[in-house]
Amino acid sequence: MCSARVDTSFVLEALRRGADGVLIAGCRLGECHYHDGNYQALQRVNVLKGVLERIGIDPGRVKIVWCAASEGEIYAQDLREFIGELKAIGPIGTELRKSKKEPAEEPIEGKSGPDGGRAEKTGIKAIGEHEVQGR
Amino acid sequence: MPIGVYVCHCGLNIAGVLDVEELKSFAEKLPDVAVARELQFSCSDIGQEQIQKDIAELNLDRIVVAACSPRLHEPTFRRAIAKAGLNPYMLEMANIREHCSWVHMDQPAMATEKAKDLIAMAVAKAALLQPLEQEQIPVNKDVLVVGGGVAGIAAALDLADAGFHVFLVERRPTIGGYMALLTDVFPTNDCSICVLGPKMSEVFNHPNITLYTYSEVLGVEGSVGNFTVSGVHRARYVDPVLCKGCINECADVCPVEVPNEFDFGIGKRKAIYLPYPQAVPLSACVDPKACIGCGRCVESCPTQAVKLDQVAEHFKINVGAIIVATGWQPFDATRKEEYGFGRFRDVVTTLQIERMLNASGPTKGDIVRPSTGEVAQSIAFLQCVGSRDATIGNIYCSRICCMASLKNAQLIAEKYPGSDITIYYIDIRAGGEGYEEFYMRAQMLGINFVRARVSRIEEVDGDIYLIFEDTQTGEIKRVRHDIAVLSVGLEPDENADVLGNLLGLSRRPDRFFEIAHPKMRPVEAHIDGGFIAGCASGPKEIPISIAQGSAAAAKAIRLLQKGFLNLEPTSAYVDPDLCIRCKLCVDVCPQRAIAVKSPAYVDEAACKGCGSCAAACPVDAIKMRLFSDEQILAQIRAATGRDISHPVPHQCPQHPGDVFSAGGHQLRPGSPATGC
Repeated sequence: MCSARVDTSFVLEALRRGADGVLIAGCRLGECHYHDGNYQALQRVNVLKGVLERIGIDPGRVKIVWCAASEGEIYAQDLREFIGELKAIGPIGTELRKSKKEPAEEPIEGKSGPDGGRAEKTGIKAIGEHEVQGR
Repeated sequence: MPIGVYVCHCGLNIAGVLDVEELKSFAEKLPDVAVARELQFSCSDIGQEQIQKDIAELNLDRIVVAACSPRLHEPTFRRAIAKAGLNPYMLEMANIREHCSWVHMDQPAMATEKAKDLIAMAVAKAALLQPLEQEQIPVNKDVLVVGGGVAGIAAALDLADAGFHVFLVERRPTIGGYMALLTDVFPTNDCSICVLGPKMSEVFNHPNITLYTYSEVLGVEGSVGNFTVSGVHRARYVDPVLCKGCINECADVCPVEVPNEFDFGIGKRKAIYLPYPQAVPLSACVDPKACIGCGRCVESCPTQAVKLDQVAEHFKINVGAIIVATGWQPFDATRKEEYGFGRFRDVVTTLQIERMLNASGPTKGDIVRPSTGEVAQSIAFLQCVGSRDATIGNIYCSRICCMASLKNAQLIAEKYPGSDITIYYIDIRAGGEGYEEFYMRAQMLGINFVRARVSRIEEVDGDIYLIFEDTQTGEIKRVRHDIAVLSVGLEPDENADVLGNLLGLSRRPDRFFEIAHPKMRPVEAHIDGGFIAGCASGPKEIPISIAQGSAAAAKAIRLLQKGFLNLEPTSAYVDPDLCIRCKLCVDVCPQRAIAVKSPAYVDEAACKGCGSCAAACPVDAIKMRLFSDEQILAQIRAATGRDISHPVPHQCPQHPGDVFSAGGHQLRPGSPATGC
């Protein structure tokens, strides 16, 4: 399976379900295991970032990185960096609340409901669902 | 759909970090799970029997094994459940070892929570598994070997002797690789070309080998069992059938003289040349960059073999397997500017010394100072030039340089008794059979060993001086030598990049091609039907390269000898009712395996299961048999269903986490992320 297999709906579903970010790791550019799938993945991520921005979600929540199957250390480093970036952005939904200028709610930690109650609290469920169903 | 979940201890590999009992209780409560058990070693006979027993007694119809990487034991468990009557694809593995216990050793509580997510994801996917059948396809039994060095020669001869037809493609005008250029070889000091030469001519004369020298592979299409390879046979401007290899007739009249790359620049050759006297095929070759087209060689050739109007010929061959034996190239010593290679004439490399020591080399076996032409009395060997050196990006040991310098020092000491020979080393690495004895023999011959990494070489009045710290005495020294031999390391041949990209071979951080498993699959590439032998997968001595060539041949025979292959059902397929004929899938398919004949159709034998088309299809008409949208979405929902505070990897056959954990790196928890 290739990084080009990552359907944008997978990423949106993860965010809709409360993931704070999605990291996609592909082979180094020019060294695709299949041929050029990582370029396709890159294009898709770029388009997706634009979509996220338009619906008010920080595009920094989706990141694509390159590491060969042997480069575990680079993968770990990328993951650490991404986690740092996500911490700066805040839990999923932070940016939506900021844009609506609502008073900050308590951090999303609840566990009511099948998805830990994240989606309801963040208010992005509808957006995410719309995108997923729209495919 | 009763699901059985088996949580493996893997001795202490998993149970030493994760709370397996808690994982078992967690799994029991997951939807559709009929039974959950802990197993000491699930891959053992006892573990497999327990799974088979449960399938029979509890009517389980799908199995989740939470253990190691599926790259290791998925085939084991597929066989096990097939024996118990289940379809082998009704198995899902949760990798709680490489992706969890090995990378989070110092955070057992968090790791146990992550393992729960991985198991929940596997159970969610397992509920959606479908029985799949392997397809049988006929295979081409011919094999392509790329690279005519000693590894490629060993592979080609073993295959040919076993009755398989081999196409051997070599970039240079002769086969033999670097081994053919060496003088004697360690640790027995037998003459290199004397042992390799007969093998080279055996390749040339073997009825089962088609030899393409001076040729390169330009394209590879298809997949395991049925590759179509296109290549070019560059013009030699000499008919190899007519040429008798006499070379004097043509080269003597040629007016152009250039440095000989087969002597690494210390000798000269003409524009029409024979690489070396034992070259195979024994045919001259015209260097098109040097030739001025005067035509004197054409007139002087007694057999009219020189054809300056020859053109490159393209060829196309069909093979079932490809052995990559593209070898290495010496480290470019000019990158270590402080040693003055290329500026100071008396600074040479190991390969230049090898050619000097070679009886058929440019100096006919004499070690001479290039600046004066006199026999060198004082010789310095500098170890680890281009190896174990982070400043030039090569932190690896090249394995053979210590032994090569010990060998050359011995040859010089025997030929010129009384000469002053010093080896400057960081550590002497003599870790092979008979190697330590060889090292001791060098010491007994009076060769000096100085533990130092030389910091720089300077030239004053035509003499060279080494400046270094003797790390055993702590003194900074400046010592004169007649010549300094840079023991250059091995780097992957950059000409192999084209083939590597065509085949989609993975590379290690040191840029050598990566093998499928660092221990268990030493000559197999990540791609099916691809094998790697010799220095293409890292620096190696000659005997190991030969062993790998033979091993790759054996693996290729094992793959092809039945004449057919069972294909993994990883392919994509089209739901014709949903297809809107937009042809986006045709554009993204790297295998060109999709045609839109109203509606789209996937050639499943050619499909490699990358899934690009499934992601690109705007109406979800393309489905994957092994990783369907529904299965992946179910995994995402399972991963995000619980509170997550750690990264959750989605399984991918080539996930860096596998190798990552083998390297002992540790991940730290943080915010969530899911993806593959």
